Amino acid sequence: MWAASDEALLAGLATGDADAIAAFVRRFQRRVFGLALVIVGDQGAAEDVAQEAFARAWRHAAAYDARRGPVAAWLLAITRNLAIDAIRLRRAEPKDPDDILALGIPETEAGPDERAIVGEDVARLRRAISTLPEDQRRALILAAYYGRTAREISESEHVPLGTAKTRIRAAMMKLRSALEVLGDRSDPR
Amino acid sequence: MTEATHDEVRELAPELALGIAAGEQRARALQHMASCAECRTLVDELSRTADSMLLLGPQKEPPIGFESQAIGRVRGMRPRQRLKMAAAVASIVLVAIGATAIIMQTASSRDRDLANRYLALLEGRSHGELFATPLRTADGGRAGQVFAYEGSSNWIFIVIGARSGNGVHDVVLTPHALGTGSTVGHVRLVDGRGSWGSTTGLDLRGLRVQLLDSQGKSAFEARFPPR
Repeated sequence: MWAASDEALLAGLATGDADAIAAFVRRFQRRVFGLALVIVGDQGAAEDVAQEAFARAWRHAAAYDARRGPVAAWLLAITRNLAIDAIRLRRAEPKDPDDILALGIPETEAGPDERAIVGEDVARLRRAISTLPEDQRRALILAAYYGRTAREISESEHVPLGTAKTRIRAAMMKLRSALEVLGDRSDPR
Repeated sequence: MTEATHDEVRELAPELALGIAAGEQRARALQHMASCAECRTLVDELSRTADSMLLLGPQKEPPIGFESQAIGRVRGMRPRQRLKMAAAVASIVLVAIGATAIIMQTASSRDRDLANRYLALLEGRSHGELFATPLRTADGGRAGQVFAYEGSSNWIFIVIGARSGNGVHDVVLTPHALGTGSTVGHVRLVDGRGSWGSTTGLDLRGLRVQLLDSQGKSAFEARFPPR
């Protein structure tokens, strides 16, 4: 069970298999909780978000599409959306964008499939982000992690709306280019 | 609502992929993407990029007890609860599909085309037009879920599953830009349970949903993220 691929564990989660549920939670709990905490900034709220993320993953496991990315990214997208809902509800201010990257890339405990496919992806992405101009990196993180719109970013960064949009667009296109070659190779499905 | 042009969609693609594009912009872009494989591919690639970014997020050991609580939260979903949840999801899909069928029966060919796109979106549910946000009690406890579908005709569906609550409650919707809301319907709660759904012409982004008790107090509340 512990060596099972992420996709196999997710399939087990969908069936309600007790061992698969436990293995799935153990494999991803540090990532899910870590992301929830960095977005909501409160341990209690982060626990609630992270637990709900696992419950939602179980409910929507059948909707997972491997062509759209690895299990970890799918689960973390669920976590991010729940965390954004939580901070919207609490009207909490986002933390400084650099706080996220300053914490560093996690040394993952991912499954074998994820290590093979995602590991290189993550390293490449990390390098690409580190080469972005600071203003683009900040705009990108505010949008990708905190769900901030271009208008909200323009207000918080004190720049015109067009400038905020340009920063987001430029950053995303650069990251897409960085992942393009790898994506072609790792997506035979 | 006019369909976005090819250049407009390519310009907006990063915001679409990040899920931060404004509702109307997204709806116009989706109209174009329904018939443009090139734009769909671009947005799909950027969406994968956006999701991959989350893999860079920090890891942190959760507090003691988290694991068992998380496992319990998943395993605690008994078959009966699963059926209720499936029924709730089925309800919203049936309501939406039912409405789509009505549109298809009565509308012009342009509207039928739009209805076909609705069906495709509902079947795919991959573009983020179907939203859900928790319904909470005044003290912040979970009391249900509010589902919404955003398109040329917006839908909202509320499922209440609170620990207590009886009687008729007013459903009040307040748009993000306005401070005061309007009563758009009523829902009867029996032992904390009930449901309500309707179309709405209001912008769903930032929309505040309240259920007011007989004394006009907000018993339950939810809010969708603003633009």
